[in-house]
Amino acid sequence: MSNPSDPKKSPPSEDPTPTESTVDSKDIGRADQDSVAEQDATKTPSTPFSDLLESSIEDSPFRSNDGSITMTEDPFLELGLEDLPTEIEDRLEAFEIEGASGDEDSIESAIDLVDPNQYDSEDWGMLHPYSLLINLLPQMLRTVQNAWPLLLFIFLGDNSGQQVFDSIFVLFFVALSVVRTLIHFLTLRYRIQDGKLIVKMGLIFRQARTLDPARIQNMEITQNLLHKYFNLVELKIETAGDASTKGLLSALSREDADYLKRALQHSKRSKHAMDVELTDVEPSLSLSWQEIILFGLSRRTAGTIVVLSAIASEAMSVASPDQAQYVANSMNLQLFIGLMAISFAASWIWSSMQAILQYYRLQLRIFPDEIGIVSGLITKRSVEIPTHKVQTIEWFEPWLRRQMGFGTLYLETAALGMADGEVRRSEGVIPMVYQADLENILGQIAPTTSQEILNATTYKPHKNARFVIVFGYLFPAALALLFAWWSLELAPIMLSLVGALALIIVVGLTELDFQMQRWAITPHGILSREGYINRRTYIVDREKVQSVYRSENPLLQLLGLSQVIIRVAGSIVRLPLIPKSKAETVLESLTEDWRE
Amino acid sequence: MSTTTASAIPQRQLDPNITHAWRFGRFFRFVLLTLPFTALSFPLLIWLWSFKVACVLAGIYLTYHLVLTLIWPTLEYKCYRYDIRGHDFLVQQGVLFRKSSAIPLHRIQHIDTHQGPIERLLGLSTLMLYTAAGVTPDGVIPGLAEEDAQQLRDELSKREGDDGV
Repeated sequence: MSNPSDPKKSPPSEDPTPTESTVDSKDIGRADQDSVAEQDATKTPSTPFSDLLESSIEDSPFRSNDGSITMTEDPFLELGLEDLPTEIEDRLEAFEIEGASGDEDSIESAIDLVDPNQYDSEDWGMLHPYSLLINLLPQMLRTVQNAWPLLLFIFLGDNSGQQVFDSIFVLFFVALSVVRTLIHFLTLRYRIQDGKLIVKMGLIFRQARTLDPARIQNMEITQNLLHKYFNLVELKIETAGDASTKGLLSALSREDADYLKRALQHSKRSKHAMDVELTDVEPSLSLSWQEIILFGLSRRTAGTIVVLSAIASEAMSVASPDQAQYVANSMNLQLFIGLMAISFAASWIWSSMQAILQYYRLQLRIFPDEIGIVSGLITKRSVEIPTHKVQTIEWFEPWLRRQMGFGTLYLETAALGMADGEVRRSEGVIPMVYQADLENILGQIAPTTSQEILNATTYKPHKNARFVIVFGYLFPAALALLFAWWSLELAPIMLSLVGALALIIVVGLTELDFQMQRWAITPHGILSREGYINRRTYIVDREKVQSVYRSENPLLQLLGLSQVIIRVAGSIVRLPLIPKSKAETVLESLTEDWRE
Repeated sequence: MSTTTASAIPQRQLDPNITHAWRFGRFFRFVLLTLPFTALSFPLLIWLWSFKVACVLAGIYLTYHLVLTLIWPTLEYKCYRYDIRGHDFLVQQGVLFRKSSAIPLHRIQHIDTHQGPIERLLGLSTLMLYTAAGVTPDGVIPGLAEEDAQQLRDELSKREGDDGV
């Protein structure tokens, strides 16, 4: 792993509005950052920077008199960090008083030793004028999405003699999109004030958002083809809380985006905040196109097939109803299998293409304090997640991918990332990770927890859990049987044969699923694994737990089992079913963490 | 006053008046929704099957709702326990579907006080505890006398926060 805290990387040289105080603090900041960097270089590279932070807390009050910068209001800015304590005892002590020291933000600025206001600007920035072009298409799509029943009515309805009316309608929608885009461009203003990003927008309903750098869960820079053509980028900033993206600046020049990113990052714990591109550093992992195609192939395909065949049959019946009727009448087994094969192939090609578009040249870089993922063929996406913001790590191995020796790693933060307001999307996705590489990568992201978790003795659920797992498979099987009985009109003997087969499959899957489930609780982490077909392993740092509960429905009570559920910001982790007494112990031991 | 109980079984109970609030609310629902719904679907059931089947189904449905209205509130009240320990807040609830949760005090983001019309009449209010985990409350304590709710809220918000996100 490369060390990002290269001393030659200094704080940014350009400063739009230099004041006396910022110049001073910046000089000192540069010197101290170097010493911090040297200190850190002597440690093991995987030491999280937050540890250093914690250890610096204790010393800080005693060193407050050596500072020469007194014009800043923040007392923590005066602290020197020349000799950070490295002994474990010091860290432990520091850790104990962490809660008492309180204000995390001021400690963070102490580390950077740069004036938080150095990036402040008096002028409000606005989107690049080309944003009009870039935003028009998405805006139209959104308008269409909101009014799709109406449009469907217009296009599919009886068109005789109403074409003028229809085209006026369509024109109206286009005009609406244009006006919205224009308003968005004309009213959106942003600026940095007190180190925070403020975004104002709206004509009639005005809103102003303030984004605190300490609260930022992740930052994402996207560049699609249009952006690329105009040399612009989209900057997306997500904080914890509800679903909507908190700060979305859809078209900024590279320089403006870099400037904003730097301004928001420098008050976080980033030491490498100044390397804007991230690409100067060797990636910890990069994917070849073959791996990405394998990822596409091993995606779940059943859903895609259903959608594709629905679209195909719909298109066919609209285009040539006679032929569709003919195909439906002459349907036999060979034709059916052939069609299935074609749709499987189509769906594989489709998902491979999607995967290539999304994850082409994916590169993962792990710094002591931040994770950077860059990927994309046409639309380039670059996500940066502060390591301490990662709440849950999910290791997802669908059956096919597992057989190929791969798995997908999801890094969840508290930001409820929503793609197009629908599908919950993970902030950090590394689609194909060799099972052999997992330990290494986890060790860099979460050193302590993963070390423990990977070496921990794991436990199986209670044997009675089978009776609960079976329900999960029994229900769809029963539905399928019902469907077979109702639509295919199978003979009773045939039906009972199919039923018996289904039962065998259900029991088999239940047993496999049961054998796969595991859980473990270590001093720092929680592990839970579930599922046979889609195996998912969750790893949670115990420090990230928000609350825990156990629940028992009547069936579980009958079986003497209990479901332990751990709530973490942004996700929920369920342990496999364990006896009630054990669940009580687990809950009790987890609550012990909260004592001071 | 932070009552530090050693055991994991919470001791404090809700205000006994909450059973009246629940009963009132469910009674209104019974009269306004359950009865009209039964009356309207009765002819449909007769048309689908027979008068006997319709009677049995309607009987089961009405009995279920009557039990829920008349008997259940008392049971629910008996099963609902909460307590503050030194470092966390415990809630135990549910008659058939049991749930016991533990919420660390330092993770509590905000506390909502909610008061419906019936609760207001009885001088009760509901506390909802939120952590950073999500949009649904991590803990709900209905039926607290107003001053108790105030006191509990103060107790809960005493500890310094650290949301951990």
